[in-house]
Amino acid sequence: MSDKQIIELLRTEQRHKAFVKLYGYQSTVQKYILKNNGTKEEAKDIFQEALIILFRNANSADFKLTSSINTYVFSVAKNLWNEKLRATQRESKKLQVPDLDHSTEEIIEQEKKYTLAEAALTRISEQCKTILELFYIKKIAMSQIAQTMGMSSENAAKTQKYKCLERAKEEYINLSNPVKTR
Amino acid sequence: MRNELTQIERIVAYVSGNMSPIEKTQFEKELATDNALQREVQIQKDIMEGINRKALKAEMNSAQTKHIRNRNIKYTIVVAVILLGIIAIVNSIYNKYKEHHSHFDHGISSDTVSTKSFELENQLFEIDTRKDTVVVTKHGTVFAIPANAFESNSQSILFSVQEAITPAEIIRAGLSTMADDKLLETGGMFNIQAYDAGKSVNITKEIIAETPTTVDSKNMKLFDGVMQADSSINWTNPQPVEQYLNTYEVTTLDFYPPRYFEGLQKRNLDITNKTLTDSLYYSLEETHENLTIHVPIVEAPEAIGETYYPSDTIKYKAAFVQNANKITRFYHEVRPSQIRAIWNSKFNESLVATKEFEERLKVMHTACNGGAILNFYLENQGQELYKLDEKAANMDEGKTAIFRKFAAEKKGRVRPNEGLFQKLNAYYTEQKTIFAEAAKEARRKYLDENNQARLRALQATYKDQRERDSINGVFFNKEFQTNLIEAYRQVGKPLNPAPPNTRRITWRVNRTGWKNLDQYVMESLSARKTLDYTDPETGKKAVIRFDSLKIKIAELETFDAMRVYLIPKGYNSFIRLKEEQKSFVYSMNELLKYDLVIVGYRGEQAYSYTQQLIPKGEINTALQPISNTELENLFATLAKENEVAEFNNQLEYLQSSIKETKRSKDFAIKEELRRYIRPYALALCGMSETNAPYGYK
Repeated sequence: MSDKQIIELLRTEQRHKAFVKLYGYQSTVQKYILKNNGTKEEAKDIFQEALIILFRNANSADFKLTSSINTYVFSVAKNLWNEKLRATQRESKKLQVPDLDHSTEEIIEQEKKYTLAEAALTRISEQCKTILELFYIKKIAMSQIAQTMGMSSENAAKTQKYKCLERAKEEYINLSNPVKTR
Repeated sequence: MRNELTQIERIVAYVSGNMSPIEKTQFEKELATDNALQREVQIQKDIMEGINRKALKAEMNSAQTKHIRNRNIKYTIVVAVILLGIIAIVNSIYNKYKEHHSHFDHGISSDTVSTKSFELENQLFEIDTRKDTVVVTKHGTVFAIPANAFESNSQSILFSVQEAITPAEIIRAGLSTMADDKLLETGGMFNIQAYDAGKSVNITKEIIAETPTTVDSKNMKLFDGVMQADSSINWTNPQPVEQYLNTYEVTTLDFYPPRYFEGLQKRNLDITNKTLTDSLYYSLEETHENLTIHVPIVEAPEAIGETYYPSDTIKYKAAFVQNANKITRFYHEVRPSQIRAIWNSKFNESLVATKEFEERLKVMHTACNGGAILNFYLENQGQELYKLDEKAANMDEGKTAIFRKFAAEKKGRVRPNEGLFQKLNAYYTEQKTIFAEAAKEARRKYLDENNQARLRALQATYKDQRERDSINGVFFNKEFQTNLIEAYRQVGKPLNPAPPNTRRITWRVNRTGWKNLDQYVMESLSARKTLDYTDPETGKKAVIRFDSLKIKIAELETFDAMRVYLIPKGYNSFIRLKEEQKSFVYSMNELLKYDLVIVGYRGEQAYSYTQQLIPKGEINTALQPISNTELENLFATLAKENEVAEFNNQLEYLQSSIKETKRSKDFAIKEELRRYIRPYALALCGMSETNAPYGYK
């Protein structure tokens, strides 16, 4: 599978195939992070984040890839890891971090907000999590969700879903403005 | 509240791109002027992307699992679905399914097969029942289906799998993860069904399933699904999931007795040279018969079971029958031939190829009945390892505790492949016998060859001795004649016309009381001491001098072999000098002239020195290297010149003697090494697996 094919797949419903292929690059990233004061778990997260950045980039309007995917993912991962080290103020030798293109940097910035939203979604109730996941990720019809979750009607499920989104929104705002919550 | 929800609904629709064009235009108009709405839209968008991230990560986790599986590396097999579990799910749900589909067409598409109550994709696989089949589902669950696993005579069976792995799928399928009152974390649920021409058929052989999971399998249990009155499923009867064994390349494992390497290292042998370490270990086979120890046992043999005894010891079984009243247990330790039969790549993917087996084998090596235990493991390797461990604990009193400890680990099987195990068993049974025979035969041959070489060398020595005796006998007579003639000439008497026509041996008999000149000459020659005789009648003297010769060779001790010859000129003979105190000595007859020939060997390299018409006294020489061809020419020339063909054989005898010396030295070293290493490799019975061989000094 060529880099071009991987990018093509990332833009379709078959992106799963691309991810399977992309996991071949994980070991390089993992080695790098393990060498630089990180754990295996952290390496997994950083690599996943780098893949998300690649995925966003592939689906953005001004997409461009100036190097191979392997190099790109590795560069992004290095940047992300460097930032994490700084944020957690961990002792580490100064890392050599490659420069990223402007759009990638923007994507990374934006992704931070989305990460916060993702964190907000873990703070809502189990029932809310299930409803949102079934509807938005598994693309299951509201009527089916209502049935399997034992709700009286499709409308009841819908109302519940919006309530859940409201809850997520509140959590998100709290997370975005930590001062307010103190 | 109502309004707020409506507003959210609109925002979500807008963000998700689900608005009609008219709605969209209207909404964007509002958006342009309403800052609060802009903010709401932005937040909603962020949350949608947050959800998106979750979806992406879920996909990535599954992609990672798939990637690992694709790499085809050995990974931990995590979940096995045991037949009971499958049936429990199948029966309960299938009944419900039948209400909707009383007719089932063979080969029907999966869409039609799925039922309303069980909305999961139905993955169908056509199975050729005559063969072992492996199917892999979309979630990467592997089913290993043995041949003839279904209650049907049909060659073609439709195997159907529905998987509910993720929580969403489980909910979607109407399955719950409740076990009585407790919520379970699940590694996956499966509905498995087999159809023959549309009719459901039973499974008659165990099908093994493996599901990749990131959850720790040690804590996983397998549940049976029981349909409740409200058509939810309660999961009951938890069973531990089998702990499958990972396999490695067999030849990378260590099947030697414990501390075998340590023994080798003590002798500075290269333990990384497997050819060497193998051949040494396997060569110990022939002694195994001494290892069968007959020990009277207290309990009845049924407690141990006949099959645990080596199948190749029929006479042992017969002994049981004959001495039914006086029962004897026949121990048999691990034999090198048993190890040799399994230590090859044919046993990859089998129990033999596991670290667990390696570990147990170390214990078997020090068990008195280890050989029988080893046979037992190999003959039953289709069973879970812990079951074998439990039985092994009863097969050797000395090792009961440690095998119980093994059993407590609850280790399971290698990914089963019935056909492979059966083939391997047959191979093992055949090979261990072949190797045992071969090892015994090789040893017998080796000793035989050694004996024959020794015999040949001995025969050559005798031949050499005989040849030299014969030549020296003739020479003695000739020399005697020479001396006799000279002695008579000196005393001025005519020589007795009839010279003694006898051989040297006869002349050596001491005839006391009868002395004449002949006798004095004979005594002088026999002792090689100067003759000083005064004739009692004429008063004339006869003197024949013997002069001592001493040959010293530089660096004599550095040579492996040394021969010093004197060739008396004109006597068709040669004399081999004896070594005395680091030099070669002789007593030269003044009437004779001698040439000197010295030949020595250092390893393969020959050295020589020759000198014609040597003087009496001391000769100091240093040998020069010479090629074997040159040496052969030298001996041939000397043999021809002096008309003594036997001299030519001397070189041959020397070379064969050197060869024999080297061979017997090698033999002694090898035998010594075998004797040395044996306590590290065999007869470890009763020793602790870490201390063996404690009896060796």
